[in-house]
Amino acid sequence: MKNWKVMAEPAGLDIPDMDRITAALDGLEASFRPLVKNIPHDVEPALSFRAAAEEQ
Amino acid sequence: MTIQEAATALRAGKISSFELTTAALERIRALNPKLNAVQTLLEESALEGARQADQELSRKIDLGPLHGIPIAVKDVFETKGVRTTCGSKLFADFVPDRDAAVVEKLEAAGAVQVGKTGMHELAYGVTSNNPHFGAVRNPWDPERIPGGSSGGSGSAVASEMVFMAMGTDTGGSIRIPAAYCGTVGLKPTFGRVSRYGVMPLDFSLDHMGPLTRSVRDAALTLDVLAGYDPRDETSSRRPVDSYVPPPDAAIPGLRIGWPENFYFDRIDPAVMRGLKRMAAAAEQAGAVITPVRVPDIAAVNAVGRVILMSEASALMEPFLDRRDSFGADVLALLDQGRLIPATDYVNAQRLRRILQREFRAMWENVDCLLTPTAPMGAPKIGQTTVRIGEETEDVRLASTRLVRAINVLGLPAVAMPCGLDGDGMPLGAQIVGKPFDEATLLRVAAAIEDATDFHTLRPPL
Repeated sequence: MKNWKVMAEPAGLDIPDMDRITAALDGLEASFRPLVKNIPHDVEPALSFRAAAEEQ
Repeated sequence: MTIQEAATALRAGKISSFELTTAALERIRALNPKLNAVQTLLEESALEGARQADQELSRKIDLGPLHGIPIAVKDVFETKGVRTTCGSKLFADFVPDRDAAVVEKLEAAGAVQVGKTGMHELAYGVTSNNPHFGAVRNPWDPERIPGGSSGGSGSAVASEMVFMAMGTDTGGSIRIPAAYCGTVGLKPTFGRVSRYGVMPLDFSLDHMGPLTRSVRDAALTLDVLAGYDPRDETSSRRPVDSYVPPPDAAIPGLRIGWPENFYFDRIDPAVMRGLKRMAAAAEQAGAVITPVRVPDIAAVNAVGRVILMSEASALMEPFLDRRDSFGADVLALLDQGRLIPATDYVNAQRLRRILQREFRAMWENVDCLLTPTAPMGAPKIGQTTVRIGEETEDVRLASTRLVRAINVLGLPAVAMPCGLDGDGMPLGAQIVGKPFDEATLLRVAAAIEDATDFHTLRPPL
């Protein structure tokens, strides 16, 4: 798991009492990280999102 | 009484808008000390609006079925000259100089706005246990949450303070209170209803829609709200349908997808019983219940959480040095979002594209999906975990588990009652449709509503 405290410090984030949020971040990390490994290289982000293909 | 019934009575001269509005105000005064559903009461302007509606209708100026009907809007919609707090201490004194597009459209349709409803702080949570304006309570049991973030809207509609209340939905915030309070809640397709003048939580996940006592009331409200708005960059130019299902809504041959994976894995057995009754009713109305394997919803949920936490924290970054202005739960989410790397946000948006394609393929086999809205009935205020089957789950994650993905995909969905749990609390079903196919979605929902009696259940107030 990531060391969230170590990540926050160089980013200049003043987040007191980190312990209250690390478990939730660990949970999200566990579910999200495996997904990233399988993204084909040619998939672009849906940064301008539309719900239907015809509008993209 | 539904909006359709009230509209008929208004035109038959059996009741006036003034009488409806007076009754709404009296009901709010009587119940709000217990429920805290309405945060700002607009008595004077409401009575003035009601008088105007009565005069117009007497002169045969008819603005449609919402004309003269008492309604409310969540306190996230900007209202010109009326305080709009977004449930936040930061905006406790914010008085907008414009109306949200939704408010403009409701006024143009002659609706009478009697108040603004309470909500979860910044629309960022499911309990509506607001640290600044007090806990909104569930009319079925005031010791329980109404759901959120549009909890005041759910509570106000279920307790019959108003006929319709507007909500917003970023990860289930219309559908969760609809399920927990036993009302209908409609989240239209992303881009179908303008976001202009709505205080944002997330640029690409926020949706606007009504909570009502019937499917047709939600549909007639969508008739008023839908349409292109150049002031909202994500607004769709697609033509608007007529959404109100006919009185005898038939659904012959429509393929209703019954998910084989994910949606029924961890739910209260009473939810399953209600959904099976709904499926049987749909079959009686001519639909074909079609087993279907849905794409990886857990993956969509994870993608949605990364996007929401990143965008919400980006939005609130200018305020995060005022830590005393936030409730503990919202501050925790905003702090989490600051620690999500930009690479994860971009990859979440790439995954969103892939999952959207997978859903598009699924729609070749079914016309809509029938699922639960929430896996259980409303938890108690202050409860942080729920026990479902053999597992203990965080209240927020359990409440959003079956609805969040639909925001990520921008799909239309309607939540509707499907019975009561062992504690007598309402349970919710969800019907999900193809993009911009609200007409089919609402026709299916109306056919099921016509053939069942779940929507007739009322809280013991």
